[in-house]
Amino acid sequence: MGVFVFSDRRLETLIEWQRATELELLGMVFLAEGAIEDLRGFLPVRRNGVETGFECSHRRPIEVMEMYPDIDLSRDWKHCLALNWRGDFDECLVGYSGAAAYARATDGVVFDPQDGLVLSADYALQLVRKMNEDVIQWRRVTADTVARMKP
Amino acid sequence: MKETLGKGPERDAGEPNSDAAGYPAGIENRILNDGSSDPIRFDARYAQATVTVDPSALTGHEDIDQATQRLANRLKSVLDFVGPGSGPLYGIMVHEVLKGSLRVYPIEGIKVGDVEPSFGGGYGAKDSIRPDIVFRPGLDVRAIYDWKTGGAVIGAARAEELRAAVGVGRSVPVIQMSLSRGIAIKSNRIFAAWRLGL
Repeated sequence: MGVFVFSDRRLETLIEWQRATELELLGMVFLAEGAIEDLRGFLPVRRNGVETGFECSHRRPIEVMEMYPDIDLSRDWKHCLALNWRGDFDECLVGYSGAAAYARATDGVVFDPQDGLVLSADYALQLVRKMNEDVIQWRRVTADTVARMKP
Repeated sequence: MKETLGKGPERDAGEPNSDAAGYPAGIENRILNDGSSDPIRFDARYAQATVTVDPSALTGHEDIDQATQRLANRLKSVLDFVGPGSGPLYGIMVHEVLKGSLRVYPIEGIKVGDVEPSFGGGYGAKDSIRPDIVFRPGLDVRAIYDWKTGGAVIGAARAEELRAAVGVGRSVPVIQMSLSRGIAIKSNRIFAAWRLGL
């Protein structure tokens, strides 16, 4: 699972991305340094004392647009950042949070291919806050469901 | 722009699609354990989900195709078990339940360590890559599976990223298992296949 962030400019460094998350009070800390353009693979993050993270790579915007021909991105974009996470609530939360903050900092948009939604940065941040409110209940339901499968 | 927040597990006791604990309706009834190797029966009477194996996902290799069909059956069972939903957290829940089912009731060739393995370092290693599942009946990875929920698809770049991380060539298929679109192999023609609705 994951999202794409489309933008016309890139942040230069993880320090800039970190600042963007701090401005939104997302409470996540990148456990790595370096240039955004060098990101290829897992990016470790700490949030609420939990070491987690998400995968982050660059994509050609046209490639992603061709994958989803029915999605209206309104316009062409110069850059596309792909954020992927595995089936893990912590990874999902920091991945979505990171995407929203990145979109806000670059005047970009977040595309969620799972639900076919193109989100403004503001709306993505709103969704992140809603997810943070809901996640405790989701964790409980999920844990109970998995537990009931045991022999 | 469609702006809807995801359907969460929040449910009132009086809602027809919920129980008092806030679970999807009938979820306990759908916990089907017949003691077989695939105990969550995919032909459950509550079955709702449709998971089909796209012909493009069949490789002609019996072991891979058998694993693909078993995973498809499992995915369908999990979807029926969990019930419908939407939103990022719902997707995580489905993945977690699927992982849990594979841990409790493994499929041949897919060991616990083959579910969300980390290549390029252990969990948390910078720049590591994590496919959803690798099929590894022996020492070598024979297929890579990527779960997608909703309308998401796997692109050529991601498929190559996964192959490179695992250290395999194009002879190893990257097979997309979709919760709403069935299953398709990742190849050069996948985009056309999707567009044609195959």
